[in-house]
Amino acid sequence: MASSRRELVSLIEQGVIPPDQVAKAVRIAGLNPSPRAWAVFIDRLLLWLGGLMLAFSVLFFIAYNWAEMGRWLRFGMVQAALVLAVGIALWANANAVVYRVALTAASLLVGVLLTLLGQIYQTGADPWQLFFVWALLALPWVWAARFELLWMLWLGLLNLAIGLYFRTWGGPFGALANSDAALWGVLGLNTLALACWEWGAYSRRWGAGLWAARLLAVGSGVPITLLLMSLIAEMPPVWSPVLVAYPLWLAALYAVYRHWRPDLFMIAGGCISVIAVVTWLLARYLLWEGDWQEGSLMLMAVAVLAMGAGAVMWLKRLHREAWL
Amino acid sequence: MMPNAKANRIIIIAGMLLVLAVINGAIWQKERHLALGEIVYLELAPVDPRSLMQGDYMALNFAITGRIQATLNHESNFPNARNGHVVVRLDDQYIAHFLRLDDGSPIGDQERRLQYRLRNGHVRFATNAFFFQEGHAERYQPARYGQFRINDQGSPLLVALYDSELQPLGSLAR
Repeated sequence: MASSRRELVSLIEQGVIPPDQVAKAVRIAGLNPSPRAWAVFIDRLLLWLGGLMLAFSVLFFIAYNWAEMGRWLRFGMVQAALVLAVGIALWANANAVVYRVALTAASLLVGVLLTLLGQIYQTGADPWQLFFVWALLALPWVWAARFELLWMLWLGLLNLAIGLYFRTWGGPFGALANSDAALWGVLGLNTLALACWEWGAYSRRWGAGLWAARLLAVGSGVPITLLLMSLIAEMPPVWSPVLVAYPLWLAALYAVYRHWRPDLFMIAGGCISVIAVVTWLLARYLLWEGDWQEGSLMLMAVAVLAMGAGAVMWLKRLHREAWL
Repeated sequence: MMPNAKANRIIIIAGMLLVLAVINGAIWQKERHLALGEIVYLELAPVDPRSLMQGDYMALNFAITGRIQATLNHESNFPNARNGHVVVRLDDQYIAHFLRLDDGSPIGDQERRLQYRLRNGHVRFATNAFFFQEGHAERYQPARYGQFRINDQGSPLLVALYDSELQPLGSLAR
């Protein structure tokens, strides 16, 4: 779809299609969805919204009627809803959409059950334990659903659990500040997930899932950039493994997404990361350590403009090379 | 669409059984804890009155957390997070009095180990909130003690609040 759209655009730009024929060309190329495509889309949208609303309605029903319901009734209701969702998934095995909606709803209800448990017994458990146990218990269904959105939600849970865990307990050797440890944990998780995802997409021909790989790359790129920036902000310069990890990460990003699986989004993300780091470095030397002058701000503005323009020009050249 | 539907079915059913087993096992465990755990009373410490009553719950602080905090502050490398035990002495009314932080040494007949959590440099004791039915706030104003049930590991679960004469005011709304 996207490539035929791009081809049409380039044909129009080159003047092959006269302006008065553009509407006809768009219709023939099938770029506008057919009534049937709309019907399928609306059907699925309503199914998704309905399924999610049913799952959340259990939560809100119990929260609203908290005082009137005993704890057995609350547990019973959520467990019955969970069994119902699993039953629907088993019954609708042939219909991929119903199957996925039911398994997503069941995975959400696990979280409701765990929250209920913590709330009723006031165990004082840490938040990371809730998210971790939730992810662990939902894993079989996430696996069976083979559905990238659910995988991303699941990884989100794991990100929360790992981030909160390291924030509380610090790194494995107690050598890191807690916030740095959380960033390292999230970085490791998302990089590993991205590697698995790309490996699966390559060797096992999993579904497209391009957006999922991009989301994972953001989940990996943001923490490593923040780690390097927080290192730059350290006043007496110190050594940290991120000084090795960051160049390696950039090189891997470039090698993979320039040559092996070309994806301009990833390269652009790498550019943003480098620009942020360089700007931060300039800020350190010009604003905090140097004499404060209006000229330093001006210099930084020029540097950001130059780097941004350079990145855009380079990306446009890559785009032409790779896709035309 | 579904290459191995049968394997998926087995995974889904196994997942459901796992969830139900874990959740109901945890419920059973907590119910036993509440029914059979040993009763211990902990004295309440005053909390900022503005945050005391919040509609349907009451912010709690226990006097013992102050003692634990003060003892921890004397340690040379004060940790940021820890799961630890504190040794208390029970008087004949089962009210717990702080003795020392647990160092593994054997404890006497009237002494018990209680679990505490240290998070971000603050001591937490089981829960910091008492939930009651909305509109019942006045009933809990004279609270002086919290009644806990502790299990063999010394992990406490809050049951009810009591006044200075150890008369029950009401249980935690569950």
